[in-house]
Amino acid sequence: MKKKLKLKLSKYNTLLLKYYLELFELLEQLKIPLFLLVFILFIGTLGYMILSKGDFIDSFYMTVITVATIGFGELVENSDTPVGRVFTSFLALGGIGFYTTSITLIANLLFRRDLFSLLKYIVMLENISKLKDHFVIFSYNELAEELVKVLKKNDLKFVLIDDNKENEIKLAKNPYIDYFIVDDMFDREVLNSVNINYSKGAIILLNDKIKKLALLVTLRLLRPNKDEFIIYILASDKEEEEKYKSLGTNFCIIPSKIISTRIISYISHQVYGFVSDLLDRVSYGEEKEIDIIELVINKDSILNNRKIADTTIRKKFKSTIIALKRGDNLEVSIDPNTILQENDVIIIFGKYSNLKKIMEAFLNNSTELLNLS
Amino acid sequence: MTKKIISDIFIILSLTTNFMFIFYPNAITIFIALFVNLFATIFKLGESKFLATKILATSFVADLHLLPSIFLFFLGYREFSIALAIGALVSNIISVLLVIIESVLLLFEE
Repeated sequence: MKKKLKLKLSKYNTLLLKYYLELFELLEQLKIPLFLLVFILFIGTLGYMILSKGDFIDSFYMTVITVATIGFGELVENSDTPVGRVFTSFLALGGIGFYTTSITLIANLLFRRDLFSLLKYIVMLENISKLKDHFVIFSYNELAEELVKVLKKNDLKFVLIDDNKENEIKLAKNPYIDYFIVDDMFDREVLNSVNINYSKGAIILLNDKIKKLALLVTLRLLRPNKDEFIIYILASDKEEEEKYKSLGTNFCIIPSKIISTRIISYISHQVYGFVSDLLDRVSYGEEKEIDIIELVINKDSILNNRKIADTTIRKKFKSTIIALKRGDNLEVSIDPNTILQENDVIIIFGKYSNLKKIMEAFLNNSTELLNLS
Repeated sequence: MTKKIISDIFIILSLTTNFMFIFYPNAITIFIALFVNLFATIFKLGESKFLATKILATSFVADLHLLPSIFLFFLGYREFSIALAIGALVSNIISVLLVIIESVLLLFEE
C-alpha cells in the first residue's frame, strides 16, 4: 500500500509539485480572511433572523449593507427596536473591521501573488509532462524566435527552457510558443519536468561555450542513445564542431558557414536571383506554397513494379517527379518508362496542398496514385 | 491533527445538517446547513494531502447547490429548493466517504 501511494505522488514531477505547493499555500492563506467573512455574515444574518423570526433574505441583505458600510436603514422587522439597535451597533463595530480586513487580504492574495498566472503555469506544466516525441530548445534568443515560427508551422511540438527570468514575459507573449519553462536548465529535475526521457531531441542555441559543453554532457548522460535522442548544436568553427561531435552531438551547425554558402550562391547566380536559393528555401520550408517530398517505395507499395508513366502524380496531383534515387545513383533526367523498384526513392516537387494529398494516398497505399485505365 | 479533527467534524456536520433540512425543511435548518457547508469548505482549503482536493471539490459542489437552494426556499419555491438540497446531500455523502477512505489510507501510511 505504501508503495502505491508513493507511486501516485511520484507522477508529479518536482517542478510541478513546487508550483502545486505554492498554490496550496496561497489557498491556505485565503482560509482566515474567508472564514472571517463568512463568520460575520453568519452572525449578522442569524441575529436578524432571530429578530425577524426567520426572514432570511432581508436579514442577509441588512447584514451586508451594515458591514459593507452602505447603511440603507433598518429594513428588517424589529431591527428598529432597542434590542435590534444594540445588535446592529455591535455588528457594525466588529463587522466593518472584519469585513474590510478580509476583503483587503483576499484581494491582496489574489492579485499580488497572481493566482491566475500560477494556475496557467500549472496547467502548462501538466501538459508538458504529457508530451512525447517533442523537441527541447535551450535558450531564448533571436535565433530561437525564428526557429519557433518554423517549428510551429511544421506542427512540431517543442518546449523552450531559458534561465533568464527577464525573458518570462516575452516567452508568455510569443504566440508561437505553447510551452516554456524559466528555470535552471542544468538542473536534472527541470530536465525531467520537460519530459526529456520521452523527447525526440534537443536544440542547443546557447552562446556560452562552457554552458554548451556542460549541457551536452548532461543530456548525453540522461539519453545516451544517439538514434533515439538527437542533439542539434551551434558551433563557431570546425574545431568546436569536432569537439561536440566527439561528445555525442548528432548535428552540428556552423552559422557562418551556412551564411557564406548562401552569399556565394547569390553571387554565382546573379542573373537568376530567384532560382539561386530556391531549392534551399523549399527544402527548409521557407516557401509557403511550394514544397518537396521524398517517397521510399517499399515491397508492398502500390507503386512497386509500376512505370512512372502509369502514376497519376503529374496528371491528377499536378506535381513533378524531379529525381529518382536508386542505390547511390541520383537520376535527374527521368524517363517515363522507368519501372519503380523496391527501395527506390522518388523526389516530388509541387504545390504544398497537392503534395499533402500524394503523401496521404501513398501512406494509405491508395489506388488513386495509379492510372488504371 | 487538531486541524484535521475540526475539518472532519465540519464535513460530517454538513452531511447531518443537510439531511436535517431535507427531513424537516424550515428556515433555520436550511440556514444552518448552508453555513456549516461553507465553513467545511473553508477549513478544507489549502490542504494538499491525498484526497483533500477531492473532498474540497465535493464540498464546493454542495455549497453550489445550497446557495441557490436557500434563496429559492425563501422566495417560495420549496420543492425546487429541496431538490437542490438532495443534490447537495449526494455530494456530502461522497465527501464523507472520501474522508473515511483518506483516514484508512493514512492509517496504512503510518
